[in-house]
Amino acid sequence: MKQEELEHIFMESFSDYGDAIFRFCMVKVSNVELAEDMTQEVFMRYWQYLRDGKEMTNTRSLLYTIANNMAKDWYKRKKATSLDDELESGNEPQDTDVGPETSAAYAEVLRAIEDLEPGDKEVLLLTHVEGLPPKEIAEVLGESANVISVRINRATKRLKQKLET
Amino acid sequence: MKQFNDTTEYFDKMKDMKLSESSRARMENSLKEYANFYSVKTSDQRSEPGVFAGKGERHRARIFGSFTFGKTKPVRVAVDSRSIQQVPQRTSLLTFITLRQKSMTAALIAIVLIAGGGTSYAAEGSVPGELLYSVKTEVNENIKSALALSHEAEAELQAALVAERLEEAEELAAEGKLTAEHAAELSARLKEHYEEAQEESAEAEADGDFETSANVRASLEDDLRAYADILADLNTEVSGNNGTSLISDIEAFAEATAEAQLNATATIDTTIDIMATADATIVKADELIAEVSAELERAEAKLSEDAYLRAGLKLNEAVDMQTEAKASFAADSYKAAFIAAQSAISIANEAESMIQSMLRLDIEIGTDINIDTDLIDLGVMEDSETETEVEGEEAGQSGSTGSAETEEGASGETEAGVGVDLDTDIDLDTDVIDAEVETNTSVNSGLQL
Repeated sequence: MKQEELEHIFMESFSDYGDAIFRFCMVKVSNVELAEDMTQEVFMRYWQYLRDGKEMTNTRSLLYTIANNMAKDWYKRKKATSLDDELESGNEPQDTDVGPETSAAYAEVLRAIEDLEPGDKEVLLLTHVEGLPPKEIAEVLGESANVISVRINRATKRLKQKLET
Repeated sequence: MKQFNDTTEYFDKMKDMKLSESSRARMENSLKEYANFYSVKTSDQRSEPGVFAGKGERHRARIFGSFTFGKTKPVRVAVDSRSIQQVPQRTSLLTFITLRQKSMTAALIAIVLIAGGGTSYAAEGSVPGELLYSVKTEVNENIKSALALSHEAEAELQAALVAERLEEAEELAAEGKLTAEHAAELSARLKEHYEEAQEESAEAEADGDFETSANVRASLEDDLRAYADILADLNTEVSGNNGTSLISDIEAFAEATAEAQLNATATIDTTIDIMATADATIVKADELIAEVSAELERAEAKLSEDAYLRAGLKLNEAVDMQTEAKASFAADSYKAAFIAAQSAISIANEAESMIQSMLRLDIEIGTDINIDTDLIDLGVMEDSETETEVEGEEAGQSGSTGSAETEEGASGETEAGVGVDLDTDIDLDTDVIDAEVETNTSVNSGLQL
């Protein structure tokens, strides 16, 4: 395929799924700037994939899968890097284009699910907000569809309980 | 949570989380530039996959490495995955605080802790005999305890600390470092947390929070029993029987917890809707059993046959108990159903702890093999010219790669090629650009999901 065509598909995918991937990253890392960076990175990897002329079956699943792998990697590294190193290396948090009110509103939303299991948060998002069927969620997260159904059920119940109290 | 009236409203709010206009525009630009820079491969390059394409890539990588797009960070492609490596570093202070926005006080204490040095953070992974261990137990855990305001929270925290002590014992025993002295120290600390947990859950119960106290006791008992088994295994094999008295202490605590719960169950009065409680407990047990059995399936390949069998038997016990619970429920004896379902949960939890622990212990043996596979992967992709160089680099770094692999295995996940290749990439030095570019390509091929 030609560069222009491919680039068109690429940018189209970003405008279709950019927000969704951003939300997924937000649920994973609870930080706007970080989630933005991750989103961009997800799409860069997706371009590499397109560019290799690989056949695409389901763009959305692919993007989520990349994002999920990236988040796993992030957790792994986060565990390995001590705070000391971070502060010494001078990597201070940077500003984002998101205003403080928006950040606070997002934090409010995420707080409602903060003490759910990590696995529960993402299934809530994927199923209720993004409308993915359990089977697709299972593929993305590398679990069996059964496990995902159980999780959806449990997480929804817990959230409900939480919102009602 | 007064902000949201119901789940529908909540999910709508969630849907409102979007990229801001400016972020979106900025990212669009970056992505366009990125796509242009990494333009579609021509047939020329494809026909000579080895040297020619490699050189082109290398050249790009050099140029690209020095670019900066406006506000965006430099998107160095040779360092493609390295920019991900930076991701966790940028989180630092901000994430640390937002992640734990429990209360203003907690945030303040967090700041004090960080300003006072990351010592207490670093101490979290320490075990008895290490310098930072006292920081962990005396400073960190006391702060956590001060922040746990309700009986419920305190009971849960103390139960978690019991688990933490047990895990430390396991770690020491597995490394053969469980001296009689450490065993005695752990035993004393265990006793403290255990008694506190019992006391607090009794208080919670007195407040009518029957469920919390039951849950705390259940998880206490499971942890205690599971670790008593694990330690007994390790004790004879590696740690020269130093843990014997610790193990008998743990077993005694487990018994006492079980008894406390039994007494509590006996005193449930009619004010509690026992039917509903039993029903909810049975549902919970069902879910847990399904989860643990899925976990066991996933872990099958990583466990020895013996370990798999043992966990499977434990899980069967839970299933049997659950069958009993359902039978009692059907026969309208709700109290018996509740007790049986509670023990089904308890046994399933025990099975889960077993699986987790066996995974942790098995992985250490598996590490070397993982590294080898990495090397082979790399070797295949390199042309012969750079192969030796890369292997040298890798060998030098194998220690760190090893630990990453261990962690990955321990969490029971199978990463796609992406994860593995990332590790490899970071271990390589910048001057081995050839290797990096090749590895980068392999990221793509790893994406066949």
